[in-house]
Amino acid sequence: MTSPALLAAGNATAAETPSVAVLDWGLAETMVTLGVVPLGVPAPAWYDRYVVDPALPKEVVDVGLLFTPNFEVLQELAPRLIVLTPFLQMAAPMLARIAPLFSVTLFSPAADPLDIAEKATLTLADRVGVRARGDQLITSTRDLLAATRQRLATAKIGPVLVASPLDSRHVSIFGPHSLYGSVLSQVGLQNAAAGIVGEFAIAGIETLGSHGAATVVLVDSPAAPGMAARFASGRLWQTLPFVRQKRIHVVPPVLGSGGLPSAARFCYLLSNAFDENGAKLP
Amino acid sequence: MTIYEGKARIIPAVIALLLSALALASFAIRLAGILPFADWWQAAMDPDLTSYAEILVHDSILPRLAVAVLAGSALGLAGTIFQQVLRTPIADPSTLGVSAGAYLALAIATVVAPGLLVSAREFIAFSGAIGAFAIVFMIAWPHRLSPISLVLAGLVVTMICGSVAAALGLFRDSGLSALFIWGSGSLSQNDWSAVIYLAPRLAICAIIAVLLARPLAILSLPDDSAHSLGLSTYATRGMSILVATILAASTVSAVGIIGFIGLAAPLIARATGARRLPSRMLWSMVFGAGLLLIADEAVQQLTLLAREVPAGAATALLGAPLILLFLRRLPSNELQLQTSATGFNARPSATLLCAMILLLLAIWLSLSLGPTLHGWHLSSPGEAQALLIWRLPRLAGAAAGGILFALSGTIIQRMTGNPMASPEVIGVSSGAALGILLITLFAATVSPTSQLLAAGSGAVFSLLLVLAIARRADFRPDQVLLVGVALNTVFAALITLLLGLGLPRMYGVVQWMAGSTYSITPVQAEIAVAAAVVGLAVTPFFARWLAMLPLGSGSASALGVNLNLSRAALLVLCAIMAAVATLLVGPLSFVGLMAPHMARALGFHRALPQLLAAALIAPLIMTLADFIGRVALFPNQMPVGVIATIIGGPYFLYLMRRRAA
Repeated sequence: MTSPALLAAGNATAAETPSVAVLDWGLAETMVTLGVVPLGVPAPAWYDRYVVDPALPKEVVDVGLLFTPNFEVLQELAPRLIVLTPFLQMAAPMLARIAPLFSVTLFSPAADPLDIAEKATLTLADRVGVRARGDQLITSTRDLLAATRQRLATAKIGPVLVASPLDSRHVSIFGPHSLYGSVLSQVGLQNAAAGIVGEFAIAGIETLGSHGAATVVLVDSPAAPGMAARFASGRLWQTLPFVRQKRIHVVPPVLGSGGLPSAARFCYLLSNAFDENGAKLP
Repeated sequence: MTIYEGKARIIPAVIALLLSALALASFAIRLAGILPFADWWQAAMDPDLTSYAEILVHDSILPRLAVAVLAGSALGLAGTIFQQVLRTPIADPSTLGVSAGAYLALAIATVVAPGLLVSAREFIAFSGAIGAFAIVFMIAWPHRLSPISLVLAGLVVTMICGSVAAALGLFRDSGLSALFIWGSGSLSQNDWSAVIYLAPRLAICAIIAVLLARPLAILSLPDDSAHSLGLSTYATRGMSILVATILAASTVSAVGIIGFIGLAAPLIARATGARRLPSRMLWSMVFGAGLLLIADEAVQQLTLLAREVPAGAATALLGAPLILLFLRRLPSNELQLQTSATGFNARPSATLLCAMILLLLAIWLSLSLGPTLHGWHLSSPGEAQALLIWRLPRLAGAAAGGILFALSGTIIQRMTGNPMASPEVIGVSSGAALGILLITLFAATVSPTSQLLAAGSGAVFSLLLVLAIARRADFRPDQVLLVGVALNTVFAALITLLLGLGLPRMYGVVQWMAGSTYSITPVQAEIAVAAAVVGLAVTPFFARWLAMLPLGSGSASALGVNLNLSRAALLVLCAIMAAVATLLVGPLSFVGLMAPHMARALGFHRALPQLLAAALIAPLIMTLADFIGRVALFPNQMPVGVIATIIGGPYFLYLMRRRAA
């Protein structure tokens, strides 16, 4: 079972570069999956670590940091369109002098992040002239989610807690208003941290005992590499019910503020994780 | 004061007892909710390895209690020692750069070697703390480790570390969360490692402190008297601050930055009647432990938006009102912290002309030179025209901000007669920063106008607060500084708290806070320049007051200066200029500290020449900083405030080291 990102990338032809600079990683991954290679993206090296898949082609130019894209570089690149998120609204007056701007909210910790992501994907696809591929991406993502939902339905997994290590004593736990939480609800899994306001909450590891009955999915973080393994050697961690009963899975990094490709990646990683650990899948 | 003695022994004891009792009661209630009372002893001594509840008590709740007591005591003791050595009640364990150094080391590790951070965080933080202290020590050494040189060097090192750390924070997106947790201090434990780390260090340092108590007590006297009593001031100061720094560094590396305990505990100990040094040391340890216990209990009982409030933020919010409450009962001695004047400048006009030429040269260079996707390029005037739109507004904004900070800083330093004063010491910059943070948090969209209003309101609010509180002390400089420091700490804690909530929209603010003129538009730049021009036009009218106030309140009022009016008016002027400058280049206004000092070092001592010289040096520094920030890590851009601190800071430290005390 291949991730939709890989499938879509197969559709991209090298000639399709409508001269766009994309100033956000979530939007960049969406563009690549839609078959449009951006001229420039901020910090592609960091993108590789945080987004991982879909990868950016080598010819994408580094245009600076996420919140301070370099105006002079952008002017040199002379894109015909600049795609950004409302976070860059302070820089918008200056960026507007380089090329027309197209501002899209791809991720927002609201009631249904996936719905927002779908709408954003469509408007983006329309603007860049690849509407058909946009529809295709949405359909394939929905299909993946539905298929995973079916497979997991029989496995009786129970509440799931999605967390990411921050340091040796704290994790972030993600609520329903996060991208991870949204995927959980789409594949029919119950979120153990349903009470969280906003995207995530920071919790000390010792408080995870209150989610003892849950199955834990630990998303690796490039900011704290190898932390998940380090947790495993702690005595307190070992007494946590989900650790003792082996209801914990570690998955590679997924961009929490990403779009449909990240959602699909997370869904795919979830499904693999439950598969490997012997959850009964047909 | 002898009449006090009888009561003096009872009052601190009673208060300490009450605090601890309250904290322990809360602790017991919480514990009962997890494990029945009957099992408490077993959980503590020999926990059942399969019971989550018992392991929770043994490996998390008990260590957390122990860490609170240890860290609180360590900070209280360190604070007392620092306040004694530095002869000022406004010293705090982070005064000598300990927290900032640790924070910087962690920030570097986060970006460069996150794997190392996972395995050796305490070691990295400790090294950073000691490293920063070593620099402070080296700078102050030729000045016989005098208090003023220590404090000044500490302030500078703190700002440099803070700036660089802020800049590093810009390279990361979501990795900031871990650093912020640490920065706001978290007592969360999941094993006994922190206790094992802290306990022996506290024990050894406490023993050494006891041994040092007698010589340290003599340091209250001026250096000459101390020498005549046979004391080696060098050795005593050196040993004491080393011990105190190790205490502070250990605490910081174990639990992160918990401000305020080190400042508040000794003050409370003194204000509740403990007078002699050994007694102050003991009681500040007790109060420190009690304060931190209470704060941590409060943190665990309350949750904000289903998130745990960081302990460091809680202590700041708790400690600040306490300090302001005890403000009045502090001994009132006007701080005599004048640094001696070096020679006057023989050729002031020539020097100023030279500076002006350098400035114009720097401006030309910045506008013409720059890297491109195909290598470096020096533009001809024609080509530079096209690039002006990208380079000039930010340059103008940075220079204008520099001028405003320089004027503001000169005013503050002359007004308080205190060379370590700067606009952010009176809390104005942080107030402005808090205003901007709040509006970013609560408003759906933020326009530059609303930002300006928010910053202005924040600055004015903090200014009014300072004025209101300091008014009761007749605006005496040391009281103003104390209030300012207290406010600053509270705002900084609130800011860290807000940033630590991890809301994505805050990351843009992080960029601004690091001091960035990145997105300034031509219109905003014009307004900034206009503000600077107005500042330059108005400030010279206050030159007379600025000449007389540094002589001390006695001499100044004898010369006919209305102290209240002059101080209030100057504070307002300073605050307005600082607010606008903060909006432009962020709250890390090192320029406001640096420029007046450099003007002095160049021989400009009188009020008006110092103002003008500072107002010429600052834009020079800012222009260079803007240029370097733009080109050094192309295509990444560093904020001008950070770079100004990085280039100016070491040069300033070098100047300090070179000058005789």
